[in-house]
Amino acid sequence: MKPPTTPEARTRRALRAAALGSLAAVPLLLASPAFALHRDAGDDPGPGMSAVATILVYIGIPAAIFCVIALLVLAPSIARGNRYRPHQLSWWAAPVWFGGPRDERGDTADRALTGTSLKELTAYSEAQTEGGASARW
Amino acid sequence: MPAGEAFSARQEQDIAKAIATAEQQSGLKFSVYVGSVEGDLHAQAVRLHRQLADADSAVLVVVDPRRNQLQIVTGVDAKRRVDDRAAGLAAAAMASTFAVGDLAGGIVNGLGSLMEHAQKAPVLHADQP
Repeated sequence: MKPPTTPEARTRRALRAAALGSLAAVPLLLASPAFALHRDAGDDPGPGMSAVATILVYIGIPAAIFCVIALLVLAPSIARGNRYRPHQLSWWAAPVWFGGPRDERGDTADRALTGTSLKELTAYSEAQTEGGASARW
Repeated sequence: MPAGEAFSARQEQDIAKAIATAEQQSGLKFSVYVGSVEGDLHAQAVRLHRQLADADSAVLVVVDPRRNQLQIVTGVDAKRRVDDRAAGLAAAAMASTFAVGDLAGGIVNGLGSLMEHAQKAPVLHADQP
């Protein structure tokens, strides 16, 4: 960065630095009792926390909150079970055939891919010319 | 193949309803197959289509989520109502919904698109006053 040339620019820069500096300094000044080396008259710090209590309060409770929130976020998808994700190149579910040959619910799907041989099939499709289209994603 | 249902009960209902509506509106028979298909998808889709009761007036949509591919097969009579261009539009619509991970929604959309094209009655004598 170029150094300020005009006096106005220099003042603006100094003001900006002062504002930023005070932002950092004010909380530290307010927290000055925390840095006290000598006790004031009448203060009562009480007994210190044990290691176990410190871990419980400063690690245990945040971890518990984290777990609860994570659970709340994940619960719906866990309840819903496996779901389709594109570009995963795997498919876990048994075939379903809606409006299939016999069943409305696709129970016949397992025997769907047995039967007519491919040769018969191509002969058939050439003779009858079904239409259609395909797509990938 | 690991166990698991492709669709929730709600999604199955939606698809069944979309099929029923499409059949009612168009008079064609609609069928949707979702599962991995071995070998050439087009050939297998035609084979599945042949197994349908009224294959000539049936439209079959085969979706292979493993290979990210789908195939629409229209029977000889159905082809007159849903030409290859309309089938291509429906296929593209489905593929774009599948690509964001919504299988059931894509199927319902695609069936709607196929139904709309099938609904249109051929205009005869359009050039006469």
